Amino acid sequence: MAKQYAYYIEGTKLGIVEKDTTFNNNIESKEFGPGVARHSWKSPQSSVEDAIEIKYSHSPDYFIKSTNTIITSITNWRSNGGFLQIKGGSVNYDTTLDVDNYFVLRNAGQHNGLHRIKEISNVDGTKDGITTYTKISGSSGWSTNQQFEETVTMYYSVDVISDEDYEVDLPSYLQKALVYYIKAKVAEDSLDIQAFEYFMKQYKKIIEKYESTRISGPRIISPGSHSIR
Amino acid sequence: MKLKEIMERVGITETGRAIAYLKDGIEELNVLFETHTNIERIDITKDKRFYNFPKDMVKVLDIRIKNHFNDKNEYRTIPRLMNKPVIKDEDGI
Repeated sequence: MAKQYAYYIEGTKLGIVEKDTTFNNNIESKEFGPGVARHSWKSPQSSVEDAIEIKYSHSPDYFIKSTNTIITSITNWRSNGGFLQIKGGSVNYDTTLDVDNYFVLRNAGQHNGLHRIKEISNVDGTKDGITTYTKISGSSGWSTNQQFEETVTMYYSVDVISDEDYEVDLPSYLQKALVYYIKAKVAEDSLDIQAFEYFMKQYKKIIEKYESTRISGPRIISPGSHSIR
Repeated sequence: MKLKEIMERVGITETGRAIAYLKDGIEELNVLFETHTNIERIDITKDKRFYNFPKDMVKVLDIRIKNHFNDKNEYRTIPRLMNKPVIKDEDGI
């Protein structure tokens, strides 16, 4: 059945609301009559699997070296002393991972991204729990609402920015923009505001020029569907 | 380009400082122009209004919901409310 949704931002969270289209025929109710309740935005009226799709950009401050060096057995998470702990599959993770290694989680909802291993410890079996340095607020029990919704993919063949040999994972033209950005920050530290402004201008100019290289043909502004024609 | 080459072009020698600025620069770049994108799907739970964004998100590009104005299981972009809804979330979760 077709539904109507909308969203709004509440602090750092995403608020999802749905239009209540149920017809309330209770003559005692203020919502009696056709269409009255239809102006009501309420919390989602039913559970739907995989319903929200968020497309977002993330910062490439890591590089996944091998996309088939993965673990897909992770199922649950909890807060272990304020740090994110994950487990699943009764696997001994100590055989493939080490403390201080980095890994990237995908399809992990709010836990997507880069994490660093703090400890590999026993949860249900031998070395089957991974505690990270990622701060998390949540229950310390393995509750059902702290299960991952999807099959989580853990990429553990990952290169992170840690030394001078790190190869920046960006197109070469945008790497030049980063040179200007760092020059600007160095100038700002030494209170050379004129140099800071100049380098930031160059940084933004390179990004704009790069963006233009991906658009071919003329740029035409067309009127909206409700405009006067 | 390696970080070492960027440091030589800028003229700084402190690696820690260069790493910090490089991370800032890449993040700032993704605020202005997205270079790396990802799609995450989340279940809708009945009566649950608030959902967490992914930890590594820099900028929202699109929010789509299954069956929005269709019944073919298509994901369509949903609008952002200019004003928060007057009906408060009952359980606040």
